[in-house]
Amino acid sequence: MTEDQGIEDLVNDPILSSGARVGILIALFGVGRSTFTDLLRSTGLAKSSLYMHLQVLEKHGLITMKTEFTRTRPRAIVRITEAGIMEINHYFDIVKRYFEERK
Amino acid sequence: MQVIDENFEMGRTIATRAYLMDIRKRIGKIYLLFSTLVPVSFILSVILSYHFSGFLRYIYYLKNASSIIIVYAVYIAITYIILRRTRRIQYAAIRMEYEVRGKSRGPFLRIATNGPTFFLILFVSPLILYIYLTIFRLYSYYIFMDAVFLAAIILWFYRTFKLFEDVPPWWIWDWIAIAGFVLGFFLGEFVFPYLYFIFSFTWLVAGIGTFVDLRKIGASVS
Repeated sequence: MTEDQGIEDLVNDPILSSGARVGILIALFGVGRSTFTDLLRSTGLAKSSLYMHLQVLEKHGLITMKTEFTRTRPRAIVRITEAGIMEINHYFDIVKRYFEERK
Repeated sequence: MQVIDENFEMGRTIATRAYLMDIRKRIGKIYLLFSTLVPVSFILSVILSYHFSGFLRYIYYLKNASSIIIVYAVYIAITYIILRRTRRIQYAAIRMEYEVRGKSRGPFLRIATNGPTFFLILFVSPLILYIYLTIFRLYSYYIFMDAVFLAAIILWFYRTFKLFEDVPPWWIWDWIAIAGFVLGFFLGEFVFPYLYFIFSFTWLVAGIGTFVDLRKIGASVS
């Protein structure tokens, strides 16, 4: 998303036009990183649907997905990137403006 | 433009759920951590009273295991690590709920008990007070310090929950933990020291129960 992007463009944005992707990004904005399983539990999305959304976000460089080995088993760790943090902050700014203009 | 509302609302619901589950997981970890406090103190007191003598005993064993400041320092440090990331959740929640949605910020005290300053006070002050009580050998006041420290943690979680639109109901495990804390410390202090173990047992149950419930919630949606 560019700096001068308006409220109208938000509707057509390839990433933020999906509520699920917005939710995943805001969730990661708060927790920093999460396991795929935890995201599955907290989002309530189907496994395939979540995977698809994560792939879109990863393709745009907003998150990273990596398999890390823990004591018990390998886990898919999802992390928000700096670009992802900037994107969600920008999204908040636009939505804030949208809410203010609507008042 | 309704799409923006719908997307934001859906995003907010998903994120809130993720935050609350993360916070619940941390509460579970706190329960499990503090369930080990009494057994660790007990084991340390046994070890130190039987295996150290002379100078070593003087250094490490002041009166009883609970007076070993290092125990408190370790627990405070681990608690700090567990709760540190909730500051990020608080920041995200404040941004989402107050700045974007324009929710009223509420009374000063509500805001004042969130944020890095409060977080620092929360974890530095108990340690300073524990050191003070140890230096002046005011061991009988430890019970109140334990209560103050745990009350501060509860306040931190409560304030974090209050940032969200709907304050989630307290889980049964929270009530069990509170009852166990009051009963365990009261009976342990005034009736019989071994009754401190009530506190440990109830917090262990609360910790395990919290994780079992989180797993159930996860299973129901996946």
